[in-house]
Amino acid sequence: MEQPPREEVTRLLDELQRGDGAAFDKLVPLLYAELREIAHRQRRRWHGDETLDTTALVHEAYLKLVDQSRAGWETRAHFLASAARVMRHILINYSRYRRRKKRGGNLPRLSLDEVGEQLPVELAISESNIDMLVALDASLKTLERVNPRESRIVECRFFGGMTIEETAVALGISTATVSRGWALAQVRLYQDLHRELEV
Amino acid sequence: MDLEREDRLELLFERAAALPSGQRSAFVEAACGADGELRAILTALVADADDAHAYVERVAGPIVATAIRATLGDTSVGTHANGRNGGPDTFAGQHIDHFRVLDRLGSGGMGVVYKAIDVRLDRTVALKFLPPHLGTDEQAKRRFVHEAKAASALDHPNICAIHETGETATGQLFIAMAHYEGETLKEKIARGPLPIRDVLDYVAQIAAGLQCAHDAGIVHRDVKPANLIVTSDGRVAILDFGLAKIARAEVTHEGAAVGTVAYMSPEQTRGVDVDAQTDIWSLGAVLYELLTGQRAFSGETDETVIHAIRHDQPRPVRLLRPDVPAGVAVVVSRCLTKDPTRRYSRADELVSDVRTLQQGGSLRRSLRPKQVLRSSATALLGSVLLLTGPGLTRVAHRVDPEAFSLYLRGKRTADNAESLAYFTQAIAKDSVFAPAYSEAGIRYVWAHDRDRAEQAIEKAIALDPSLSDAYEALGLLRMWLDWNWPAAEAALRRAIGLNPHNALAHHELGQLLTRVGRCDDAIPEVERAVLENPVYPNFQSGLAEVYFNCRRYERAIDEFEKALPLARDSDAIYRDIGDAYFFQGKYTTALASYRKARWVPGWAYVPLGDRQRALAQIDTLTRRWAAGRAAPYEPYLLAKLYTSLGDRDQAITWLERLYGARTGLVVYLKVQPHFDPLRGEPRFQALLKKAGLND
Repeated sequence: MEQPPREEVTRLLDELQRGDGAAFDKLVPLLYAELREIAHRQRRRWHGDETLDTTALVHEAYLKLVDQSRAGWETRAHFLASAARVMRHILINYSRYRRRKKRGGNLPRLSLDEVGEQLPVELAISESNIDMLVALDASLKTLERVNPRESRIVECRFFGGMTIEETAVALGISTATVSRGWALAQVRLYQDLHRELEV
Repeated sequence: MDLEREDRLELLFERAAALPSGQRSAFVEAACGADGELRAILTALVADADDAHAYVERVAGPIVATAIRATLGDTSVGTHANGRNGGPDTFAGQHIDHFRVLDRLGSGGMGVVYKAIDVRLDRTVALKFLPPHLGTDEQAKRRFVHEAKAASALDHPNICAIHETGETATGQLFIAMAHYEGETLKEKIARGPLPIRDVLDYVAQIAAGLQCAHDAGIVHRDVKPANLIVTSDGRVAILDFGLAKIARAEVTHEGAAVGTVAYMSPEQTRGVDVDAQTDIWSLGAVLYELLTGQRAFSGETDETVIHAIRHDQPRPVRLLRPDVPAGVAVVVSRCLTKDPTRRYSRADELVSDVRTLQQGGSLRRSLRPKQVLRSSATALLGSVLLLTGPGLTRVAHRVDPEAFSLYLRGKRTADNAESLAYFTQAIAKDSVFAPAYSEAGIRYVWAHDRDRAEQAIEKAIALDPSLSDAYEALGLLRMWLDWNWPAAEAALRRAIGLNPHNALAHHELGQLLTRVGRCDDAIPEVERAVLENPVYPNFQSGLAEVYFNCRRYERAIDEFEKALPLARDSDAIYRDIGDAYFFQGKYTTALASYRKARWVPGWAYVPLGDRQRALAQIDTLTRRWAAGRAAPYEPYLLAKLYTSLGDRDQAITWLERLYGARTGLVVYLKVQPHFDPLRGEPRFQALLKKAGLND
């Protein structure tokens, strides 16, 4: 993959910040390619003996993809939060894609741009975990309507692998607010997922 | 979306969750004041706080993290699972096929074992994950599947049942087998020699299991204390049948011994093809150790142990433990004979000898030696028949996928007749699918079709005697339609014994115990049901119902309110809350709650001075009864209405009709607070007696 110009990523982040939804779609493949690349290097460095640290990945991608001379505290925060959203997006696309594949055999890809659909179908995720991921996404959408801040927090914690402190930085809110939101969001997700998956 | 309210909710939740669980509801009560809606929401959230945290930490979080690693191309996760150095618990919390993996139970030469729930059949199983490289070697994989299939055909109480084999998404092989709560003989020996009586009992059971396998042409090859588990009721199960063959391949693969060589037979140490005799040797070595607390053959290194096995005689058992009967020492020697042809030729010969010794031990005081001999000869005959009698061969059953899908639809369908139709179709597709029979049985119970219920449940138990659901169904039948309380209790306890996580069985057992007046025993059961499944509304309202029937109205109201946010149809719960206020004498609050239920029973107005509404309802219901259009619960309602008006004779007459129609609601007679004014009446007492509910 061609090296994405730093200006491109920085510009997309800016556009995204201003509410341009199309920017996100363009950001996904760029960011994903970079994360994969870094993951690959990390594995080589560790001889495959360690599991990946998602946050470290995201930080490394940030340093590489964003023009540091122009980046302020806010850009970094925004990048971190966006990376978590990108991971969620990819994972959910992949999960849906695999479900479709399972149901309809060799369905044509709905859109070739979807990063999730370019992944090999036989990734090491079990069927029931795919179900769980799809249900989790639906629950997050419900949560987004009730409390958008909580859904952002969950995104950072789950999909960005961030700690409470990192989440606070990424979302530009206090750690106390993150803790409170995270505690309540967990119960809401749990209740929703149980209804979806079990009963 | 009301952000201010959301902030307040987060804040209150944080404070409540920080309190010890006993203080939370008081805090919620105080903090919400008159805001009933906020209180209901917060109560439901706080109730789930701990479970939710555990779920996110242990289940959802790891699943997402693993999935992210997979999408980023990290394939190291799968191989990590086996943690050669006791690595992380990567399978715990995962969903693999239809298994929900719980705790890690332990690990051995043949992989890591986890406790798991088979969500299809709702039973607890043990999952053994084999070393990852076995999954990549096609030949090894085929051999494994072949061996496991052969072993899964063994059906014997002393052999751990193998349910099925499977493969994780990363191609790692696993075996699902019966899970036993108990202790291995290795753990028992670690505390020293065992009582002789126990040793003989265990060894006879192990030998009986081995004989069953040998009859099927299967040799265990790795009989050792760690592979023998004793359950709390004293049953011994032999684990890992058929695996040793693959384990041996493992030895050469890894270039190091997987397990211990201490229990190997001399011929086994030479690497020759072994037969059933090798298991008899190993059992002898186990017997020796159980009696003396020491290994028959030991040494600093594997080489010295092997040398001892081939050339040395173990120290005499009776030297180490003088109270071992001479006969028992002879049994040990006959097992530990270097020449395989001079050992017991069959495991059941060993069983006979042990039985003889057991009988002799108990007869010695009253009989002379010759008589002992004769009586043990007959005992011997009996025991052989008993132990090697024809056993059913259960072949691992793969459910027809269409039948399974129908079964799931039936489970999700609330309407009784409709759901019954799904189960009937499932049975038509797969006539040996036990869970479908058991579910159909439950629906027949609700439809008051006693005979069909009995047939379906009987069939379910015959097909799978280890199916917890089938005993749960039997419990419902015995309670709801037969009013056979002890039989119902026994069946439900059996269901729980087979699957301690069977929430419905806990729930029903709790209801049963309340109905027979054992409130103290009932509460832990219904609480357990809620713990097992905190979001299923019936368990929560069942818990509340127990408090209600136990006359703990305050608590009942609290618990019913927790059920409100869970339930799709809140009418019934508001009616119950209304009842709870009613019996506290809070008649206006009761009335308000009944109104929310959109049907106000006539008795609600009686204490407020209005008898007309009750009389009008009686009139309507009586007409419907006369026209043959009354629902089964309507005589029950009529009895409540007449009781509230003080007409005890009429009330009891309707309860007698209820009994005459064999309606399930009879089960509530002993505890329903409505009928308290009737309890002094001889006719009412007679009715209780007929339903087996008298004291």
